[in-house]
Amino acid sequence: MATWVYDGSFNGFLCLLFESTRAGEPPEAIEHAGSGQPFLWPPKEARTDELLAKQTGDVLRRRLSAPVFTRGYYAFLSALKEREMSVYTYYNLAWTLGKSVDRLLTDPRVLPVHEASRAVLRERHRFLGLLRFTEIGGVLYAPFEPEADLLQLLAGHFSTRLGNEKWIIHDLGRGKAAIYAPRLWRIADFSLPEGIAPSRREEAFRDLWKEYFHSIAVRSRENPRLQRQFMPKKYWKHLPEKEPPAE
Amino acid sequence: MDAAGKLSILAEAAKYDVSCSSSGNGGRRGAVGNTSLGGICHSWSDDGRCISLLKILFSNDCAFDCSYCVNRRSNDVPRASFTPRELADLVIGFYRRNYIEGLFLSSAVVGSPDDTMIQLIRTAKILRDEYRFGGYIHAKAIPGASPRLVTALGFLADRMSVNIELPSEVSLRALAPQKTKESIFRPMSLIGDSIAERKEKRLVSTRSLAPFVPAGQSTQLIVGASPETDLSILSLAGGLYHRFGLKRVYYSAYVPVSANPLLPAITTTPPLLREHRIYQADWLLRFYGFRPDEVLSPEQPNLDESLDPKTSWALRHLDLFPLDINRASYEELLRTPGIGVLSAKRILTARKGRRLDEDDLKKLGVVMKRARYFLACKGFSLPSLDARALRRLLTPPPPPAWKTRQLSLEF
Repeated sequence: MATWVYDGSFNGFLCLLFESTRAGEPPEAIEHAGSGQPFLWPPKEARTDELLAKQTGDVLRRRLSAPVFTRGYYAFLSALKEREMSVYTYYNLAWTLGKSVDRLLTDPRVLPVHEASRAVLRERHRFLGLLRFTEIGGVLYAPFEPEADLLQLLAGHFSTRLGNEKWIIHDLGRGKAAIYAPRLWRIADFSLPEGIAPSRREEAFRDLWKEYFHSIAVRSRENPRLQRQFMPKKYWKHLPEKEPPAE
Repeated sequence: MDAAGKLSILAEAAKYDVSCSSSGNGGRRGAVGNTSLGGICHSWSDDGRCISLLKILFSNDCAFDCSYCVNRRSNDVPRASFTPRELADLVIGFYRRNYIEGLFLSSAVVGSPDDTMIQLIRTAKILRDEYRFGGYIHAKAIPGASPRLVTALGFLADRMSVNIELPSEVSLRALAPQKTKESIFRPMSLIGDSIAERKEKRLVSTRSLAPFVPAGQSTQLIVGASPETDLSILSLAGGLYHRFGLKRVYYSAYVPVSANPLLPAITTTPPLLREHRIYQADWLLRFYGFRPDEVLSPEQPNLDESLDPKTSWALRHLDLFPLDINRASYEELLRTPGIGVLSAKRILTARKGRRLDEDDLKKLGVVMKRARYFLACKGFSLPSLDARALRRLLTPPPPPAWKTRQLSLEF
């Protein structure tokens, strides 16, 4: 038993699974490298190697079945506490049981991963609709603050949808962005240069949208609770239609 | 008039149409935009309804005079019309910013039904041909328009709809004198037949053929503007799903927009709870394997407003319960109050792993508040109660006043 550290990426996590198995030292805790966590004993470190990650991923997908492997991946992206250990435990169980691990739906080693993966997909689906782009200098820019690490799950959708545009989807909380120019996207650390403001034309579009949002509501059916149920307040910050009215 | 002015008048005029879904076709892809099979909601308005499409009238300058409609000729409201170009540009502008999933294109009857259809076709053509727009278009067939034009629009749209609005011919004659049952059902069956025919052709053809209304058609019924019972509304809906292959029937609680002796008084509030119960019953028809005559009968032609229709049904069939959760079939599980499609499927998977108990059911998403009275499982079964006692236990506390007020029909 040992504490393992890795770089925080899914590839890094796969390498960690491989290294810890080879070393015969299964993790009892998994931490990010440089998380500032004090350790009692020096932790084991798994180095990230893209090729090793790919091979490990292929082996896991075959042995655990694709749905189980993917579910673990989604849970890995979630905001679940100790998500790495949860996914590790789930994969470990599935290593023996294969895809029938999912029959133990109510088992504490399985249920949290299922729930986390569902939460990630739910949040992804929400943001397919709730992301808002602003055109700045010919680039469509969408800031957002998701709970899960959604960039790689959103980029594919928007690269088919807005395939001829340049766009940036910016996860403000994690300080990184999916950056796209026709046919290619990548994820990189990102912060918006200072002093950039949307143009007047852009303001006009926002105003039209607010006008529409206001007009489409049937006043005699007003139901703010229902509205918040679908569109919780935590998402309002980046929605033009929920901006407080100007002075 | 500027764009904002038109937008506000014409959105205001379109909002009593309920449908806003963008689902049913996952295959379209263009230079700008694509469609997603399950549909995507982009916002939720202050009434809690989802905003997926830019739902707007091309024009509200109507030649017809239907009493229930806010755009009727005799009503004193500001009028506006878009040009096809203006509307198409607006759609693209909104779409690029991810405000919307596409366009819901409808219109009042400007001049003649055919003139109106031509404007709608022009708008859709600019979007599809010039912008190569791959997003969702839901288009209305204008009642009375010629078949050729309905077909032309069908090749540009993902979904089409013709609104029935009034659930019987008698009400239609009284409240919408320029419309006939014929003028509504003719385009509906034309669209239905064309969809079926095209589907078959595409299946056998070696070339790839353009799809016709690939996401199917829908319609809308107004609830509470005329005296029809829930049974006649649901039977009509059942028939539409069955015979015309409709994807959705929408129900809209009537919001009074005019003072007319034939209509509910202008001060009445929309019958939202009744609408809600009808939707629940509609779901029972489409996803839970119920027939209309199981949910309602001539002796009991209206839904019980204090209980959901599935619980009501279960109380009338207590001899079928309690159900052994570890042995019951999928169909039986679906008919149990508190169990939905998802939780029924999860139960089937999870019980392969081990015998389930009460605790497991909660984890699987079963609403035990309702389900507990109808289930038995490992070490758990409630003493059997009679229907009366159960009804008392299951009736939710009275909802806030705005939900319970009902229409009074003035005759």
